[in-house]
Amino acid sequence: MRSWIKIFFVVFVFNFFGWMKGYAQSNLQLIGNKTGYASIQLKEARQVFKVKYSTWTSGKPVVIVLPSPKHPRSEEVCRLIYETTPSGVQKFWLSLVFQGRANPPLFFDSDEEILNYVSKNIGAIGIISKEVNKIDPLLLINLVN
Amino acid sequence: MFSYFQKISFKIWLPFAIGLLIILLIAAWYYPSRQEKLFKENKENQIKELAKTVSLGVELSLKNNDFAGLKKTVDFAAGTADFEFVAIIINDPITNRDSVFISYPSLPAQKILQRDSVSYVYEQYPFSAPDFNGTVMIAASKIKINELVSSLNRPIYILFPFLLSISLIIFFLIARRISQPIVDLTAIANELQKGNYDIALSAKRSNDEIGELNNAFESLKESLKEQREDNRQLTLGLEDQIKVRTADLQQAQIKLIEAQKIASLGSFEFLCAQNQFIFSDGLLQIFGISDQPKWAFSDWLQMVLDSERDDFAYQFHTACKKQIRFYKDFRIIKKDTGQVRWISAVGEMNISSGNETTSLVGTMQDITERKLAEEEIDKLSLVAKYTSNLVVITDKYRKIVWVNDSVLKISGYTAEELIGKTPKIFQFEKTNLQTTAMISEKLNRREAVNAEVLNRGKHGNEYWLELNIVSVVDDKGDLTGYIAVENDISERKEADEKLMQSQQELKKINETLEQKVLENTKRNLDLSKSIIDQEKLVTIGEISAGIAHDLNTPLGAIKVGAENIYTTFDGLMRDIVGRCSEEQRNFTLEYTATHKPEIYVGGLQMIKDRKEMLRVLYDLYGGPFANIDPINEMLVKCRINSEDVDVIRKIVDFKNNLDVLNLIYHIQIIGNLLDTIQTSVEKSAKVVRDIKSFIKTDDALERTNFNLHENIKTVLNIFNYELKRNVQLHFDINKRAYIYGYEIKLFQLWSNLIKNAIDAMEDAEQKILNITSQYADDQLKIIVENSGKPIPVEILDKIFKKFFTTKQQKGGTGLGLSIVKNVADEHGATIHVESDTTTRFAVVFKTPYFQLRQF
Repeated sequence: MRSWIKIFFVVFVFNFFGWMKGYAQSNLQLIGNKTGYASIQLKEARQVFKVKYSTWTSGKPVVIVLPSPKHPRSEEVCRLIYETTPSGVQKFWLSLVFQGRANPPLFFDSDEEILNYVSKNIGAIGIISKEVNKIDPLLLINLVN
Repeated sequence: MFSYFQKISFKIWLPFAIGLLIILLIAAWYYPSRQEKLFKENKENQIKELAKTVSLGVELSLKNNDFAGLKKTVDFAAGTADFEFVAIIINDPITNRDSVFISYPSLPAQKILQRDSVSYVYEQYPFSAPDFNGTVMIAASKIKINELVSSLNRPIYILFPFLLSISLIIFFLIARRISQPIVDLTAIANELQKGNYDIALSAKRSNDEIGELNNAFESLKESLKEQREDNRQLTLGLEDQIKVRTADLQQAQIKLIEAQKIASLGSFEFLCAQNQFIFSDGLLQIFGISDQPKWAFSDWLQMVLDSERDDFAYQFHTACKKQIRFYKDFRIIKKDTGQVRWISAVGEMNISSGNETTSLVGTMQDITERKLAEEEIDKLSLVAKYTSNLVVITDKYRKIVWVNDSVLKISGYTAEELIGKTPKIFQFEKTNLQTTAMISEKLNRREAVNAEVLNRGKHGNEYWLELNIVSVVDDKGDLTGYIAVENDISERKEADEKLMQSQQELKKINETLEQKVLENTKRNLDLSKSIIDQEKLVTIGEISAGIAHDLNTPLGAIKVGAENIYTTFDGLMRDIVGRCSEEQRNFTLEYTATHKPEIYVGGLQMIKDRKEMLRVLYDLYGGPFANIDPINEMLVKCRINSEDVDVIRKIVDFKNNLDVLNLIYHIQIIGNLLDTIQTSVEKSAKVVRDIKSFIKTDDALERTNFNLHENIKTVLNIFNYELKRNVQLHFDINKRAYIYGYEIKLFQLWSNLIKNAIDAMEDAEQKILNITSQYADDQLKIIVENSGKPIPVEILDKIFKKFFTTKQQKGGTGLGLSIVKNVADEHGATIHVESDTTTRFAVVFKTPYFQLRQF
């Protein structure tokens, strides 16, 4: 009995720390303009960025805004949200846009450009680094683990 | 009228229409194919450019994350009409195999990778990104491309027929416009032809050839109009003249009809082709018929007196055939009264340009009264001519115009010497002047004269005449002449003187004398007849050798024919008939009864017939068969027609066909021999008949009308042998000449002349005998001319004397030419002889002893 519990405990601890490490190491934050989300779970956020929805509950179209490969956090965003490399994200969007199943995302080279775009376009949702401080709290979406 | 296709507008329109049609057909074929080719080339370029664009969009989206541009390029590509799909193909460098990364619309990879070049046009263009290489493939539907091509060309296919129709209509209108003036002129010409000269010419004028034609036509129309007016005026004038002439003609016609009625005259026309008579009303009255009959010639002939029908028909048909004037007097029986009427018909032929007699037109006149009068006159004339009384007719100046034979005989004058003289010619010193004065006085008072006068003849003979003279006056009572009927009373006067003295004695003497005269005369006549008959028998005797020859020849033929028949018949009965069945015999008899050919004597025709018959036998039996050569020979000898295949087949199909053919052949030979015998018998009979006619006695003689040609011909037949053997005969006697006399006596006349001619030519090198006739001045001269020794001039006037002969050594009796002279005298004919290089006896017949009849 003890050994079973011990194994379970060890697995739990490792995973917990792994999760904690992933999230604890993430230095990213979500922003959205009237998306209807104040907070969103990571899983839900991944589905939103993989174009599960084309419109928000408000009826506004979903506009995905992503960091371009030149952005320093580009790879980090790809791994967190799309769980793949930037090249994989490109192929993902290539196939979607090619078949017309989604509107193409917008890529910007800097967080400021992402923030600027999201703040000006209703329905836009993006991800920027946490180093950006001056963000309208209405734009912030709390990413819940 | 012309059909549309003959009209000039069609002929102008047709070349344009054909040219246009050819151009449009070429364009309709060339333009769409060119369009299709260019469109497809353009489409391929477009697809290639689209592939390049999409490839660029992919490349940009991967390098710059410009997915919006990618979307535009894909949307652009998908927006093309013939778009089928667009796909990104990636190649695995390890396996070198293509795989589909993505396609739009989503399709199975297999469909994309297995190219269907029949249905689609494919284009690929590579792209290259840092982590991703491949190619963009884009496909377009060929069906849609073709649909686009079709839709592109569709207006052409609609437009071209439309253009063609419009152009044809335009050309048609142009052609019609070009030809319209000609059509108008034609219509105007037709109207002018109908006589409508008031028709207006088209107002539209052009300065071309048609315009000039129009002007000329108008001038022509005006000219014709003027001429028509002239003609109308002329016609009116002519119509007036015709009316006047017609009225005159009707009057003349009425007068003519009245004249015809008076003259009992009517006209007729016989239509030869229709064999029909048309009679005028006057003629119908003469015939006693009320309505115009539809009479053929044979119907009309029933009107003619039965005894004259043949002669009438003969002369009528001869006139039609020889196209000569028809003239005939004949008698008819009137239909209504049954009276016999004399009709005189005269007709002329109407002859077509092809020398055919189309009709005979003429008149017929009832001449019954005239005929009766003529007959009366003829009788009176005969009485006057032949009466024993003397008849003298003078004109009103008492100059003699006619005397009868008795006057000539008693006076010794000829008629020519008396005509034109007065009866004073007969007076002389013994004529009683008181009597002549009394006669003259009474005649001046136109009283009948009875007187006795003593006249003197030319040769001084005196004779007493009892005169009965009457004056002749015409219808107006004017004196036209005198007729004197006189009796020779010389004997009476003489007798009167002696009568009283020796009346009784003279009576006895006279009775005795008359008896003796009669007896002597009879004896002389008998002797004369006997001598003449002997002369005939002498002639027959002299030519008996020739007659024997003429009889011997046919008798020889009869003998040979009879012997051959016997031999042939013996052969038939002995062998052939026995071998033939009854059916074969019946067939043979039936065939030979209807086929009587002449028997072959050989020759080219027989060889030719053999070949033809052999060909027929080959055709009938498909080639040679047993005995074909003898059968062929016998078929030809039997003269069986090679076209008569039924008979040939029937004969050949008999088992004993050669026997049947022999039977036919022998029967045909017998038939031919019998024909020869019959001909020979007829020839013999003719010789006998001619001799019989020649030697007929004179006892039953009486005057008849007979044909002179036939009469002389019979004599020539008697001398046939002599003439054929030695003499070159030229016999040409008018066949229309008929003699009224003794046929047998004329035989003697001709036989003596011919016999003398043959005798005269006995020593001549060239023996020519011409017997010809000449007709002139109502005299018919028969000339018998021979080329023999001429008669010496010193005996020419003696040759007709009885018992004068130059052939005493040869048994000449000296009666021949004497008989000739007597016979000629009996026929009112004279006979003359001339002898120089040839000797010519001319027997001249005069009317009424001969006549020339119409055929």
